[in-house]
Amino acid sequence: MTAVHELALIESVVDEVVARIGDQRVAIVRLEIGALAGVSVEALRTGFDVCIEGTPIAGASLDVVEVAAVARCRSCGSEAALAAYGAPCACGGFDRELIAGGELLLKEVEVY
Amino acid sequence: MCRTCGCGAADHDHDHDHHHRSRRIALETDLLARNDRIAEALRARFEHDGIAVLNLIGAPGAGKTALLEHTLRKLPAASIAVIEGDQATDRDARRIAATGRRVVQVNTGAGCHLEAGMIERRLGELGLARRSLLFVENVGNLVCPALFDLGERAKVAVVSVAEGEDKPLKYPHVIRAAAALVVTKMDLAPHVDADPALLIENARRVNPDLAVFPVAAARGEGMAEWCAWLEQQLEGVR
Ligand SMILES: Nc1nc2c(ncn2[C@@H]2O[C@H](COP(=O)(O)OP(=O)(O)O)[C@@H](O)[C@H]2O)c(=O)[nH]1
Ligand SMILES: [Mg+2]
Ligand SMILES: [Zn+2]
Ligand SMILES: [Zn+2]
Repeated sequence: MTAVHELALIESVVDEVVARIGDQRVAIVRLEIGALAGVSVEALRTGFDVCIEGTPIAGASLDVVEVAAVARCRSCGSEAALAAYGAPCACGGFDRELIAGGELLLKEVEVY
Repeated sequence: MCRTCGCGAADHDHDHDHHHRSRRIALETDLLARNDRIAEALRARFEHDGIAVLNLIGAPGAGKTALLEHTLRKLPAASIAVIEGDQATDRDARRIAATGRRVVQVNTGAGCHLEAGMIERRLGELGLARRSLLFVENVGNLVCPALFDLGERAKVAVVSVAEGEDKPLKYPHVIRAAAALVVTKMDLAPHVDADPALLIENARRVNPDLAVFPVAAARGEGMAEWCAWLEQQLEGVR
């Protein structure tokens, strides 16, 4: 089941696309979603078709580019993959700033 | 009609270049842009009007409304109002109204979180004075309320001791986004074999900057520290 907040995100995608490209026909909507963005890519994919039915972009397909999470450690300065919030750096520090993986981006559309 | 691109020709190959190959248009917009625009406008308005807004986020039953009821009684002099978010009923709004403070109830129906537009629409009903504290009790949910900015000064995560020490690790987004964590129902800790210190340690792993307030709202333990932090938030807008 698609969670309601993913549906809310798809609705804002539709609004934004229509506002930006007018009545051009959309083939593909491309999103960039970070691994730690707090959004289920699975839920976005499941909900997309139903959610765009009856909108000006009905029939478009969804392409999600998933971005892995990387953090910079404020203790030792090193950059490394972050598996989950709360996971320690190799130095043992927990104060890690997310530098990739938080993306929640409407990247581009392909139009005919 | 071509079933792939919808042009007048019969089905044809789309892998190669031809006259109606699709064209890319870069948009580069945050998916939350629509909400964020409203939230930023609200934030500017709150700043201008001297209103400190706190967005309370926690699971259903974490003790958010109870925390508010007791907080409102502990701060008799301050100007405080509440926006109550629930999927249905005005039960929480009535609990707040019983303390004598202004409150509006927002029902989201199927919606699992509050959005900035909902706050914008109802704000006028509160008639907030300068130097007010405005609590927003978000819909009981630890997941998506963390994503939706309401123009607040700070998010406050509310987790009860009985929810398990690993709750902050299982639901890290709200802990990450919050400035403060209130650990509620401390009076229950001995009865449910809970280890509040471990819960707090886990929360600090996710967010080392978190201010943490363990409280037993009805008994009053920890409420003085929490209220002192609230007064600091109010100072911040003066
Ligand atoms: N023992 C104890 N129970 C509490 C405390 N705070 C809230 N509760 C109880 O927890 C239940 C849910 O509280 P409520 O404030 O409605 O939670 P909300 O859904 O987060 O607003 C109620 O039965 C409250 O009486 C507390 O500090 N100690
Ligand atoms: Mg409540
Ligand atoms: Zn490190
Ligand atoms: Zn939601």
